[in-house]
Amino acid sequence: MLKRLFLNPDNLWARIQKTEEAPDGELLYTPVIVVADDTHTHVYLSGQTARQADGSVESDDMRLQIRHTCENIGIGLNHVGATFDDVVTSTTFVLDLQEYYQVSDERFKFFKKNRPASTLIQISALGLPKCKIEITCEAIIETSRLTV
Amino acid sequence: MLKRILLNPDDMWSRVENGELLYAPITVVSDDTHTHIYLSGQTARLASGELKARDMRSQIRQVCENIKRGLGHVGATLDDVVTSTTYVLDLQEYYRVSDERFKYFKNNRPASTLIQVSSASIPGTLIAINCEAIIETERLQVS
Repeated sequence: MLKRLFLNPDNLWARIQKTEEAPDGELLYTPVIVVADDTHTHVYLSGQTARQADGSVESDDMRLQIRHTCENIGIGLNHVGATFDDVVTSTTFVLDLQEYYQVSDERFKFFKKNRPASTLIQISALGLPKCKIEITCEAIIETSRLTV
Repeated sequence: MLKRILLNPDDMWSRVENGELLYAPITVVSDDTHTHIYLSGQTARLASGELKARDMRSQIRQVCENIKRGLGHVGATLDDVVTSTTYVLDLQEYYRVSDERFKYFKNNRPASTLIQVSSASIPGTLIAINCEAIIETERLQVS
């Protein structure tokens, strides 16, 4: 039997929308999803940007946005007992590849050892216009390490 | 031992050139306990390749119908989707009618990413969604 967990950590931003059916607002997606069997556990993070838990974006600077994005990924991973070393694949969406390349060393302060199979794409816009970068990640850990 | 299944159902559109399938619409990788399901990015194209839905709301509906059909081919449901990436041509247009999506993704909402791109698939395509699902292998049914 698989265990499925749908997690919405307080210290990660998530989009909540009020609807007729849910006047108090409902979560439009799950920030952290975990699917576990006896041996291994998959961890899926919603695409992370530089948004703080309150929804604000502190800076337009690409380097700072990379740092905040990676910090948010760290929060999501840490929430279930995973680390950057456990990330197996990532997709990075940026508004401007050249701007990203100039400061992409910032990312490798976080992804230090095991570097995931990765894809990098330039796109025309992210959900919030101020965001310049978004990173999605998938990680796998031993189920014995899963802590929520 | 892993079981791998590559499916190309008749009721889903897929790209064939010179008699060769360019990608698998549905890929399944399964061990004794759990089964991963990967769907190719779904657009509003019908199995025939036609794009009848022209506005964003009806395209979202058709895309979700296509995803549901793909998942149904292996015994999975929308509740089993763990992650999705949504590509749209116009974010504002998407936000105005995105409630349509939540008529399908009702309970378990996947870890998600939303991106605006400059084009997707054939002209007229406004949205494409990629999905990955996981189910217990005992639920796997290929049809």
